[in-house]
Amino acid sequence: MLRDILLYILLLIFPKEDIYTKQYAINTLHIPKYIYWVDDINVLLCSYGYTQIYNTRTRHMSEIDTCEKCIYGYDRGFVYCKYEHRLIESMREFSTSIFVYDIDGNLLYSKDLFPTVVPLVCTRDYIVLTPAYSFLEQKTYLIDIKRDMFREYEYVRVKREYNGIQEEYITVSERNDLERLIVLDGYYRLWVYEKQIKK
Amino acid sequence: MLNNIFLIPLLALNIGWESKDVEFTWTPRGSEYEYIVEVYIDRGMTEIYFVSEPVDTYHTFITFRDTDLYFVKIKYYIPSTDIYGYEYIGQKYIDLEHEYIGETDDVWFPPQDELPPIPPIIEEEVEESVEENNEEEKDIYSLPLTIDMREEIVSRNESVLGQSTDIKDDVCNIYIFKSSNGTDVSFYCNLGIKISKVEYLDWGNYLTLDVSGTYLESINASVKVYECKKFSVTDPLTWFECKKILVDSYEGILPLRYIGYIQVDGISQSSTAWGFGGSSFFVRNIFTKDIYGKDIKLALEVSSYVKGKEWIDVISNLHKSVRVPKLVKATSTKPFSFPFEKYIGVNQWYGCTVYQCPHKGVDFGAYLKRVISIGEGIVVSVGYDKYGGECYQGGKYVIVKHSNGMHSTYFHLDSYSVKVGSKVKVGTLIGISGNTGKWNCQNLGYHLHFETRKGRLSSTHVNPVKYINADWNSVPTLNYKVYPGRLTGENPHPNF
Repeated sequence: MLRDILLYILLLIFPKEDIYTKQYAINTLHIPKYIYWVDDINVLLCSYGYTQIYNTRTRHMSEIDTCEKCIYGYDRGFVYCKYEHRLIESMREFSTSIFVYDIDGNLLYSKDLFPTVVPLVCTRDYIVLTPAYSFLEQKTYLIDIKRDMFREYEYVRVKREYNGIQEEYITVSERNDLERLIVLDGYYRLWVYEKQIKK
Repeated sequence: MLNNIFLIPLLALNIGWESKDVEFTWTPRGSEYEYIVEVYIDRGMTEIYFVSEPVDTYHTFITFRDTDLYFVKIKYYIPSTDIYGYEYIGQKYIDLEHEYIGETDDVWFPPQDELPPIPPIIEEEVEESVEENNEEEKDIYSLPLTIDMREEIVSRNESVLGQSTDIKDDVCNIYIFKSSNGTDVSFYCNLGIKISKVEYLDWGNYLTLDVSGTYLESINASVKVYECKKFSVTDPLTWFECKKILVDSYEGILPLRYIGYIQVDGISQSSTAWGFGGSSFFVRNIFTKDIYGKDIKLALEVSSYVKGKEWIDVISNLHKSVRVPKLVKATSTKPFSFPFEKYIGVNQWYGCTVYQCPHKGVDFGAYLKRVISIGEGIVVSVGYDKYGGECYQGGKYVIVKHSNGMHSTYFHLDSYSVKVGSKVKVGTLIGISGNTGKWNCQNLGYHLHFETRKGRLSSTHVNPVKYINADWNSVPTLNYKVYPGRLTGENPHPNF
């Protein structure tokens, strides 16, 4: 108690500085396509054919059932997006069908699309898609499920700076309150970082 | 923090820049440091475009001669010491034709703020809450010590941290000592690292050192974690010094992960290509100066994570000496040369890949690059290929018949600069790579689909790797970590 009071007084006198410190590496060989923070502790690491729930506190990793040609997502519960491709002969045809299911297998949404794409981010409200093949024009698309709209999705991503992360990194997934980060480093390793007060 | 980077355009021509000098400046780290700026042209950081000479000032100029997306990082080090480090200092898109230097970023995780708002998350039951109170006491490991494992000799019955190690032949003994100063990791293991091949080759304008071998992906291990016992009035041994106590342990299989690079006289080099997989590894570096006779080491960062009472992180840097042979000229009896003026990475190899089976050529990830003839010959066909009507097209293409009867084909060109009947030599400009053509009625990404054929017909396709005299270890698979399927096919280096 006394320690806490002293610490509080010290913090009032000396302004605190937050710094992210590397905690540990996530022991997975699979590089996720997308990371969802399920809550403040658990993250969903999603890649095609392989999905894991990882507890950033206990480091417990559990694999969840995967389906062929689908990717999991999280949005008010687990969902998964399935896709089917077909070869087409004209631009009036659809080369991809997308289906969104909840965890019980109930179909929530489906849509036929012209481009040959795969879902990258799967939620109840929207789906982000990318080309299925590396030789196709690399674009990003968005399905707005509520409006039943499909459009090309362009953006310029600003790379944020995080105090304490000096290594080269590819991407960062932030917890809502920014207290914890999952960082994919230049060697494609996933690290858990935690915000701490600089001593 | 190196966060102040300035790009100062020095040349401005009215009809597009032929080259562009760009100045990079950074915050000094101290008068004892020297710096090298490295520029990459692939997001996977596998293809070095330029490495500056070492400078002791806080800025340097780099001349860009190609339109591309560049990633820049700076290596800083204190000469004659093993103190070094890297800073990633940004990425720039430089378009020489349209006089544009722009900020770009790689697209991987879509930014949350530009998507429709994510609905509030319904709290789910978390597996356990017992450890919640322990969170603040979680150990944070510092960088491990560097252990020299050149000999890999395990001494019998030695005492480590006051404990009898009782080392067994087939067990890797790891001792972790955690203190307020950090974490020391002692490895007494045989990781089975065997260097089977070292090649040191002169390719004319650069030198390569290729180190390949085998390693163990997992080992049988005994891990023990020690800490200093907390001060206790009743235990005099804790009054003035650290009394080491065993706080955690693990015995069993230890899965290992590796990254590797080369060190020259103690200075770490950023590998231009490396791969660990299936118990074999490959590490490559490119040099501009002869390194023969220098102290060359293969540096490995080995990591693993196992569950004792708590999670135990085992991270250690290991070194293995590399005996570099004398430099020899790279020679080859292959008849053709590379279809670009410099090496460009591959999106899809020849053969049966996860994307196409068969894929009849090699797809180079080239964006508006000069495509050159791979050998002497005569142009036998140019035009726009519509092999499958509206929806399946090879785009603008050129076919060259070579003097040995073989043919080379160049598809999806943005433009071509030869006619039927044109005689070409090695290096003659064929055209500019592009993205013309269609697949499944859709536009293609920028790339060159390149084929070598025994005859003129498409069915006579053969693997270009077997006919192109190139340093194929300098031709990486682009972005293979994110798209592992790109490694498939008849890839000359399956690890990367």
